[in-house]
Amino acid sequence: MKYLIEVCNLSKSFYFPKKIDVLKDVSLSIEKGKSAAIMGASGEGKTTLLHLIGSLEKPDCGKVLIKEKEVTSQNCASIRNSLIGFIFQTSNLLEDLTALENVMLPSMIARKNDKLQLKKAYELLDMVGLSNRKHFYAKQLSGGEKQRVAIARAYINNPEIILADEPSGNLDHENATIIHEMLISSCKDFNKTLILVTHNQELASYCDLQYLLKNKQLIISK
Amino acid sequence: MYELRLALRYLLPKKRAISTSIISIISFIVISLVVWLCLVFLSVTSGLEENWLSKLTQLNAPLRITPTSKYYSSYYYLIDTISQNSDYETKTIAEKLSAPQSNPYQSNIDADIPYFWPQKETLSNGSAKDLVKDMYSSLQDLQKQEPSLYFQDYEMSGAFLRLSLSRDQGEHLPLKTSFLSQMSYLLSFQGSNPHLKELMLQPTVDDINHLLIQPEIPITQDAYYPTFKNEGINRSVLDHIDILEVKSNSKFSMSGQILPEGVEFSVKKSPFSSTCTILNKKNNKDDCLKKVGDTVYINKEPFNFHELTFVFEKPVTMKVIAFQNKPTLHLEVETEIQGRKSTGSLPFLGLTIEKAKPKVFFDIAPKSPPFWAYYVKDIGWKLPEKGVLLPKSYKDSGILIGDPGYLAYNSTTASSSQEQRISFKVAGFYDPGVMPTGNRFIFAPQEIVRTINASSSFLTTDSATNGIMLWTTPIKKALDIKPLISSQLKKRELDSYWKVESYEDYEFSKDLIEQFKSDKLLFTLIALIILVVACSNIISMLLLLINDKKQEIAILLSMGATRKSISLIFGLCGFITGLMSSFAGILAAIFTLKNLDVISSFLSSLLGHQAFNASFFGDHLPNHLSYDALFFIAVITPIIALIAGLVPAIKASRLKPSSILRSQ
Repeated sequence: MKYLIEVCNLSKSFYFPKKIDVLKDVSLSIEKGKSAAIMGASGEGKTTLLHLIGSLEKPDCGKVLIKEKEVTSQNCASIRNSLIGFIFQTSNLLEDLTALENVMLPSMIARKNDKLQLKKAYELLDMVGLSNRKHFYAKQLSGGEKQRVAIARAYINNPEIILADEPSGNLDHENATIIHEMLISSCKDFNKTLILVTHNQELASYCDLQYLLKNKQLIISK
Repeated sequence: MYELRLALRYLLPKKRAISTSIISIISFIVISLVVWLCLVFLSVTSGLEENWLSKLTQLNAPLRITPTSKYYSSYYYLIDTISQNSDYETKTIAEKLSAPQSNPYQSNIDADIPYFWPQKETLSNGSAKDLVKDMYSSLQDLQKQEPSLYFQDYEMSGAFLRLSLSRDQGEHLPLKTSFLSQMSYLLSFQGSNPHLKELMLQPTVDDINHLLIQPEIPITQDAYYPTFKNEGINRSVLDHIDILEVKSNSKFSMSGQILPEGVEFSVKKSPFSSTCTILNKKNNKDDCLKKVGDTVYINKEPFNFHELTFVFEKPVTMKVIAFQNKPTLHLEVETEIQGRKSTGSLPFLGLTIEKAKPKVFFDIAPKSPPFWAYYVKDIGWKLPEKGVLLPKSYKDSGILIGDPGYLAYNSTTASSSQEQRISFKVAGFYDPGVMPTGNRFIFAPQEIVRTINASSSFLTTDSATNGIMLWTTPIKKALDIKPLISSQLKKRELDSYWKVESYEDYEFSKDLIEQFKSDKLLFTLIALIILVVACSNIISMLLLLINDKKQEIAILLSMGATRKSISLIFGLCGFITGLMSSFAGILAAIFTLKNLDVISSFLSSLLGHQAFNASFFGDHLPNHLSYDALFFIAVITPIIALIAGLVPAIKASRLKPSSILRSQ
């Protein structure tokens, strides 16, 4: 297996109500353990591409292969649960759950709710520096803390891929730097494949690959 | 199971989701109210149905076996008419049961059997049938399987009842005597009826006081008891009573035994006699009495205690501490005289029983039975000799236990018809329920009914005047037992001789029971519709909740939650709301049913008239929780809630996570 993620000729259009082509014949291949940043102007389809890779969206044509297996509507839930960890820009956490419960949620979905997972959740919260906030409800956490919980949550099921959609988009510079460092270093430490959608040039520069999405096409820039 | 955990968290009311919280609370309250209403309503109607069923089957047991016309035209029945062993008379079921032989016919003595008579009844294997004994044997077999089954043969007859009422009109007035007559049905007393306890009315103090002064009542052969003339009361009546309270009457007088020592009382001393009236209240105007040893001081003037007679100004109620009937009648009483506690021993004369507990239940048969119907453990209910039980309407007309009467019937002889009389004593009253002719039914000892049947031709072959009554607990079990009896009879080839009927088949109750059945179905349907309407609130509640939780649904989907899990979360929200509401409604219903009488009287006082008519609803509204209704509500409410929750749950599972996340 050469590539962990293979995106072959993906096209996607939306109807508002007129047809708008967002992506056209986009292809992308990423090896295991590599990090890739997708940049581009607003509305170019970066998030759509990330959602298509993460099987949150169905492509009009083309396919996504993860570990050489095509993502279909039948296996998408299990792929998302076991192979992918998502980090979104905002509203990342479930407000009715504590930080610890939010971290453990993917393992609960995978029906792995045992002591080992609890121990792992404690370790991950410790890793993101929130061991003292584990029983805080999401609403009691700051924006930066929420994102750190989201990073810990993305790792709980030990996925091979981390998909991050502008993870520091809503944060101040100081918190954004902490998140960037945490994300890049953790991916490197755990040998995770990272696809990052960002406007931040500095953050993109930490990635092995940099892509620019322009005119519905993906152009490699590094 | 994270779905359940999330569902529970979503259902907790929150300040930031105020509209969802309000709708959830409203849904909860509405469903609870509907559950409460349905459960109370269904329990009351079910209780009413049971009450009516019990009233309908009090006189006629829930199951009845009567001979068919084939029985009356059988060789087995007819053979007695030509047999010397049977005195050339047909026999009742009870007589057939106790007859030493199934076939009393002796060919050498008795007349020839008419050629047109049916053949002797035999089984398919050729052995002779005993239609009564075999039927009893099959019932006994069934009783082994169903210990709650009781049965007893019954006989019915008719006679003219005449009661004599002699009542005391007060001092110096002659006894007032009046008569009460009515054509009545006689039913042999069914001592095995397990529901008799509910039917019987307990002897009252009026009955007991009346029995005490009845000179006609036979005094038991006990050397201790003086004759009625000597004492004026029937001491044998007191053998089966616990006297709790007595009251002085106009004949009361005492020698001051119960006056405490050294205490001053206000009295009025008669200047012409030794009578001293103890006043109701203490005052300083009247004479002052003080007892010191054997001397009584009235206004400091000494009198010999034994020379005075004391009476009360007004009747005084006294609590009986100890009571002894043998060898001498002795009452140890406690009372308050002018606010002072007084105790002492009193004779019974001049006292009326105010509160007493008659003994009705006995572990072993008493040597001298009480004058009312009584129950002996392992035997059943018994009537005193020549005692009859009357419907309670007689009691309402002023008849008391111990009143004498007679039953008149016509006895046909070869040349004329003569009136015969059988005397009896009233031994108690029973509630005849709702039988149309219930107020004409008199329970009499079987010997009396049989005597009247034998001399008159009341026993006819086309009516159910002789048969077997069967009781079951609960009453509705009769419907399960009926087919068992029929199959037992069929197995013994007796089914054509006996007709088995349950309360559903009785002519007088058929329509009412059908009405109850259709009412119950209608009420259940209405309850179901109301529940569906109430549970539809859950749909709006969940739609709001889903709208509120769209973002979280998208996050859950992105973490790998299946669409099935998303449906389950919101389906569970509906189910839990239904479950919790029904639980709250059930608790409220139990509380309401426990306090139904209080609520009913409150409603009556609010309306200014009786809220629930006693003739239909009974003295008390039925307040037992119907387990059928409870099961129905407890199961159906969460199911409807789950179904109501499924509609929005499916909607939630179809949300597109990508478009929600993109719209952030």
